Formats: sequence, C-alpha cells, structure tokens
Amino acid sequence: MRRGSNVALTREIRGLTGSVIGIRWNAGAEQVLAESLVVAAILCDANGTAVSDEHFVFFNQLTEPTMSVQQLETAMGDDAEQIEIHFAAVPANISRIVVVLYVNEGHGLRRSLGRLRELGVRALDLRDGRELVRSENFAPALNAETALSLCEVYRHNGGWKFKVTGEGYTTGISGLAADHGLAL
Amino acid sequence: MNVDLTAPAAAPARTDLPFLRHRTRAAKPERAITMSLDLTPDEPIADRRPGYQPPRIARGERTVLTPTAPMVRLTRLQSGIGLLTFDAVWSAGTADLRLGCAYTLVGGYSSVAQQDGAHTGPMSSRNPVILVRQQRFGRLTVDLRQSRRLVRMVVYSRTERRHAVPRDGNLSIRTIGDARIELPVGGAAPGSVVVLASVYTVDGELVIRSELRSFTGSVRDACRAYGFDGITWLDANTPAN
Repeated sequence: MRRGSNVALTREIRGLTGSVIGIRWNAGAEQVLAESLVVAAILCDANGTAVSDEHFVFFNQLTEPTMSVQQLETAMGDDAEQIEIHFAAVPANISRIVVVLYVNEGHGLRRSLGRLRELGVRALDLRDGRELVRSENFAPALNAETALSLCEVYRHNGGWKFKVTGEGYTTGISGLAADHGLAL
Repeated sequence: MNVDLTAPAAAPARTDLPFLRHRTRAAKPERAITMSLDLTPDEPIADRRPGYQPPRIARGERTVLTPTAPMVRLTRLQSGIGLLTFDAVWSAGTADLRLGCAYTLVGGYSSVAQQDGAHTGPMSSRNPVILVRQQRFGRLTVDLRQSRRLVRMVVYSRTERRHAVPRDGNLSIRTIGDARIELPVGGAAPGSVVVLASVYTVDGELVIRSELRSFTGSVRDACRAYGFDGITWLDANTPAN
C-alpha cells in the first residue's frame, strides 16, 4: 500500500476481531540509531487529539486504561515492534489510533530517520497472525525527519479501516505530540 | 525473701465481671468450607495505596524542592521521552567542583559516573544510559529511551582541591517538555561530597527527591551511605572498571 491509501479491514475480512500492527526497519550499521527508535500508538478522539497522557502507548506505558491497545514487550516474527488492537474493547470515544515512530533524542549527535535503509508497517489478523496488508518502504523518501506517522486505524461506518500515512516531522516527538494535543 | 501476695486493701470490687462473662456476643459469620483454591476474601479489601503521592509537574512549569516539599514525580511520558538533564550552577570561583552520580541498573549492576574518570554509565558504553559532560559547572543527562534499565541513582557534587561548596548554588533538572525542578544547594565544608538528589524508578515513573546530605569523607563513603555496596573501588573516589 502506498502512502495515503486505505483499506476497510473489517469489511474485507469477515469476523476480524482485531489487528496486530507490525513495524519493521533496517538501520544497517547505525546500531545506536536502531536502539533510539521508539514506536508508539496515540489513541485520539474524533478531532485527532489524544484523549489523555494515559492514551499514549509506548515502551514505558505498554497499554492504556482499558487495555484495548497494547504494545508487546517482545515482538513476534520479523517485526521490530508490534501493537495489538482489540476492536471491540476500544472505548467509544476513541475514533482513531495513530501509530508513530520517532528517534529519541539521546546524548550524542542528532540522528534522523533518513539513515534507515528500510522502514515499513503491516497489519496482521489478531486471530492467527496472518498478514493482511503491508505498506511500501518509507525509507527512500525520508531525509531529516525525526518522527513519522506510520499508519492509522480508525472507525468508519461501524467498522475499522487501516490507512498508510507516512507523514514526517523534522521537529521529532515534540512536534508530533503537539499535533495530537499531548503535553510532554 | 518474703513476698506479700495478698491483694491490696484499696482494690475496688469488680462488680462487672459476672456481666462480662455471661454477655451475649454477636455470632461470627461462618465461612463455608470449600475445596476451592480461590482465596479471594468475602469482603473487599480496603484500598492499600499509600496516602502520600509526590506532586506532578507540568510542561513548562518550574518547581523548587524544599525540606517540606522534597519530592516530585514525573509522568510515564516525562520518564520515558527525551533526556532528563541535570545542570549544576554555582557561584564564581568554584571551577573544581565536579558533578557525578552513583547508579544501579536492572540486573544489579552498580557504578559511578563522574566528570573525571568514567563519565558514562555503564562504563565504556557505546550507547550509555547516563552521560556526565565537561560543561562549566557540570551537566549530567539520562537517556530516557533506556529509563527502564535504571533502578535508581544519586547525584552528588565534590571538590578536588578541598574548597568549600558555595552557598549560592543550584541544581536544575529539566525534562523534554521544559518542566524544571530546582534544588537550592546550600554551603558545605571543604572536601565534602554532597549528595544533591536521588532518582528512583517507581512503576515506570521517575521520582526525584532533594537529599542535600553532606559527607566529609570520600565518594565511596557517600555511595555506601546510600546503599551502593556492590561497587568495587580503585581508590576512595574512583570505581574500578
């Protein structure tokens, strides 16, 4: 799937109860960059605003209050990180789940996502881990970005859709968080 | 030896004893005997959370830790995003004042990172959790991407040339959202090691506490006083690799 394209997950796949969003990357020799990457899911209302601090799911907060969205401590398969979404358990006030990747500002030189050789996202069937869709490789189009909105899973006509976004931020997690109304 | 076991003449008569012995007591509800291994009590257990929770600090806010309000608690976002930066600022004439910290990582590894000597934690790490930099007054940063590796740390200052720690000093702690926590640092005797602050990881949240305890001995003495017993020392101020 190219950036901007979407698919109606629950309409296309009968009985789909949820999805696992898998993110994979190849940083080549940039090991410190790979160790600085963070995947997060932001649970947003209809206006695209995070409901609260507790609705930012990442390595230091592996789930949100209802546990409908969870980050796995150890991803299965070839993915570097995985996020599970249980559709029926997602509270009604959550309209959109935005999956992002950012470079944590570490001690050393500022690194960017442009150094990645490969970066992609895919959606799996929560029941059996079968791959449903996957995005194009984002890496060739990246340059000075330090944060990236990878995809969105959102409500549509009573079901759930998956959209590949690939929107970059050169302002890192601060800019991305501000866009979603999160105060760090 | 004679011991008088007779009752004191002034002891009042216990007229209430017959009543106490024969009163009816409320029957205890009998718990049904079951072979179930479910040990959940019949009645709900009262909330056992501690009564005191250190206050939060919001983005862009400034708070000063005092003896009456010595602690602050960061959110999980503040504890896991960006860097936590400790900046020491002292009055002029104290160029030999050095900043350092003792730390324990998950797995039990403990050591010291300081401006002279091993300035990363862990030592010689390519991607350290803690880095102490040679700024004018000393800067210590914690990479919060690795905050789940950190169990606890104490930040200290010490003088090389046995100068007194100045009265006009300040330790400023800053999050990625520019929340500022400040500790006014009072004076201390020459040659002192002053433990300025401690940081503990509690359920994914960093709790920062003002300590301001002065030790007339070495860095080793200060670390041992705070329970860092697992560090091997080359000398009184230098840990072994």
